[in-house]
Amino acid sequence: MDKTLNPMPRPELEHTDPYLCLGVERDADDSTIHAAYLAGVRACPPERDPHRFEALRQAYEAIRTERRRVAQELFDSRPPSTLDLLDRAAPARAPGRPDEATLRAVLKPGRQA
Amino acid sequence: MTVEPYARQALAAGRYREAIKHFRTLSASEPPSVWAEGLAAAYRGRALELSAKGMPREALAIWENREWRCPGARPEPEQIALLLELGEYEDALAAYGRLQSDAPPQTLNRARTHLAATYLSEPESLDGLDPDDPVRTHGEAARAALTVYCDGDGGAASTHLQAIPYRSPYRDLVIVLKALIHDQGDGHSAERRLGGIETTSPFAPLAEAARRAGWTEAELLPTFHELSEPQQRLVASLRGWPPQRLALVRTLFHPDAADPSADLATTLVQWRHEVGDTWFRQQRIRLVFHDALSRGIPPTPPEDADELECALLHAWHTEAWHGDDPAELLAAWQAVIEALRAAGEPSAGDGVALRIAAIQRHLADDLALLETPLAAEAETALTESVALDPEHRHGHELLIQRHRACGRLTQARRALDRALARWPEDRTLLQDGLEIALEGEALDDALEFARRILVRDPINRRARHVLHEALVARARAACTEGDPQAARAALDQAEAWAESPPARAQIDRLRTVVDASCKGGHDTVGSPRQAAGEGPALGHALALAVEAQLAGQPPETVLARSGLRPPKRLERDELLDLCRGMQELAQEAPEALDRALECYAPALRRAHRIRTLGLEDFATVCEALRAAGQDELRGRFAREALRHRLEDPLFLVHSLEARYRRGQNGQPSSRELDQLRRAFRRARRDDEKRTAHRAGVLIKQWMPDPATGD
Repeated sequence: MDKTLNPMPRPELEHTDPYLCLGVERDADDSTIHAAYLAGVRACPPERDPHRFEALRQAYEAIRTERRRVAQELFDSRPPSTLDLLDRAAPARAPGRPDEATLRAVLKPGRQA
Repeated sequence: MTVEPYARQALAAGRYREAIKHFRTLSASEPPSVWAEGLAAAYRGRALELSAKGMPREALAIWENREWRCPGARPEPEQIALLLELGEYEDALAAYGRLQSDAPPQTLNRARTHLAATYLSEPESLDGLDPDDPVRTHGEAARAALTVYCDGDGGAASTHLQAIPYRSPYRDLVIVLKALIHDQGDGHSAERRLGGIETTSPFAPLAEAARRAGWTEAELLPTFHELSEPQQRLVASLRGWPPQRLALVRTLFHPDAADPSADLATTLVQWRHEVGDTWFRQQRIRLVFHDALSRGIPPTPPEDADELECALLHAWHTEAWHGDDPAELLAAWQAVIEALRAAGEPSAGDGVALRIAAIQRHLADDLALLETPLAAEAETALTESVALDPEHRHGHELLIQRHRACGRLTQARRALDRALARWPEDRTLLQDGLEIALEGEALDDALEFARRILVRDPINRRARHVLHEALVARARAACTEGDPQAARAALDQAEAWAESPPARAQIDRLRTVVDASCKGGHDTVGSPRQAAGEGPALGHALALAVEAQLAGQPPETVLARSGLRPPKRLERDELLDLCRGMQELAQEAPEALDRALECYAPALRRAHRIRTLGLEDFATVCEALRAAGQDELRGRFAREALRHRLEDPLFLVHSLEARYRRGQNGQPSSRELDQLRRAFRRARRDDEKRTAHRAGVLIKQWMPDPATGD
């Protein structure tokens, strides 16, 4: 069963929920978490994106084994960040293309904030 | 007097209203050549000022006045941009027509860029544009590129973009679309590409949205409200945000909202359905805990919180506020364990058991209850954790460490055996086994563990070293007890583990001691060099004497039986060799060295008179004697050196330190203290850092600061 929550996670250091940072469901097993971590490292290699890589690494270290997941559940009392709430309530999908009307609206003179 | 200077001064200072007034006064009396250009510039400045203030109609009136009152003034690109913004398309086209007649190409192109943006957003509004105008001719390719890009065909969009010339009014659009097509996911590259677009360009809002689409959420969200509504939609599309996320971002990061994280609890309740009940409950208690923590009050569990949630909240609160009270900590986490047990009796390895075991390890390890009066309870919990979660190696290791720390080697060994039954290849456990065996003096077991470690880790120096040390200690003990056979057997075993030359040399020396200790009479044991190991004789003889002392044998006897009787007089090279030996042995076995040096004391007492000793030799000898704690001898050498070089800081410090360090000779005299101060200053001046430091320490010790007593 695929336990991947979000196929396009955007790991950030502001994530306090490691599952959301890695983009996996809470009942994901070791192999799913490892696969999500490797996919994340490919997307955010440390030499190109050190901050996201660090977020990814911290999240992976927090939940990579069952005992660590249990410890995270019991002892990690950090509150969720706004980013966690956003990613949980309405996760971002793969980057997309705007519709033409939106682009034209942006170009319309005198409508900027 | 004319007002022209005031007018120009006001214009230069950006006081456009004042400049307009003065130039208009001037226009009543002077020819246009004097004021027309200045007045046009003042009108332009004022119009831009009003536009920036959000007063477009007033700005447009100023632009119209400018054309009307200033002979020769032509429309400006900003004027055309304002007309387009106000939807006055015909007037904009008319102004563009007047501009085309005599404007420089650069100005014309800026005006066309504004028209180009309008042509893309509202093409029908510019129907009156000449069919051959670049805005229209290049515009078809630009519109086609936009359309296919939005349809997801980046390749076709690139092809259309190639049809647009470099000096086109759509140049900025080309840059933005290239960034969107080629730099998605590479924020740095997009930033570089988009950095070429000026902020006054009509394509700047598009560029800004494209740039922010590549930012991290942490950078983007707090400033998201700065974007216009279409820009926000554009960024959301580019980042793959569903409409709900865009709505939630607008709610959380509304400019009028307080700190978004402050009201997260309310938002969490509102979005409970979307986030799921389990996640909602997990995060809700964390928010409650942190709210209470920030206000310094005990957390109040939510009304529908279950027993486990209440217990967890209390445990976190206890850790935060009563972390130094082991009884409170234990009680709080025991309550969590009870709540877990209430959900179902654990059986080894299931979810409940893993959670209970994690809490028990947390109590023993992270909260260090083993170091408190509740150690017994913590130890019981730790033992139970191993039973509940037998597949967790760290739990076994904690228990083994605990038994070892309490000196319960049998229990430690049992716990180790249980762990090794599960992980027979684990090197940490094998290393523990080795050390437990050595602590219990079970050398055969230790050998077996060492062998197992080295099979798996052939370069494990620690295993070799620990074993070598244990066997050498056993040989020494056997020698002390007068059992040369046992000592030799231990040395034979130690030889197999000694891999470094110093370790082998140590075994050779100890073997010599054993041989010498069991020989009666005055027979010598091998040749002096063989007995002492290879190398200069006196340094090694000293090492042999130290080894004899460590093995409980009289050093003089061992040296005599080994043919290494200490000489009555020393030559320079012998003295220096002895000093090298002293330096090496001072760290390893200072007490045994002290006793071993007694054999050489008569020769050393006369050695300061060796005629061939140079000052450097004196320094070497003093340093070695200092390391060996031979202050009386050091004083002799230092004083002799001072006879050759009066008040030399190095020897003066050695001399005074040797005389007064142990406090046996009272306190230094004021004359000596003056000498020490001078030595300190001179050493500092000559950059002799070590001598200056030692002198400084002595001064501080002997002359306390009257203010502080330090």
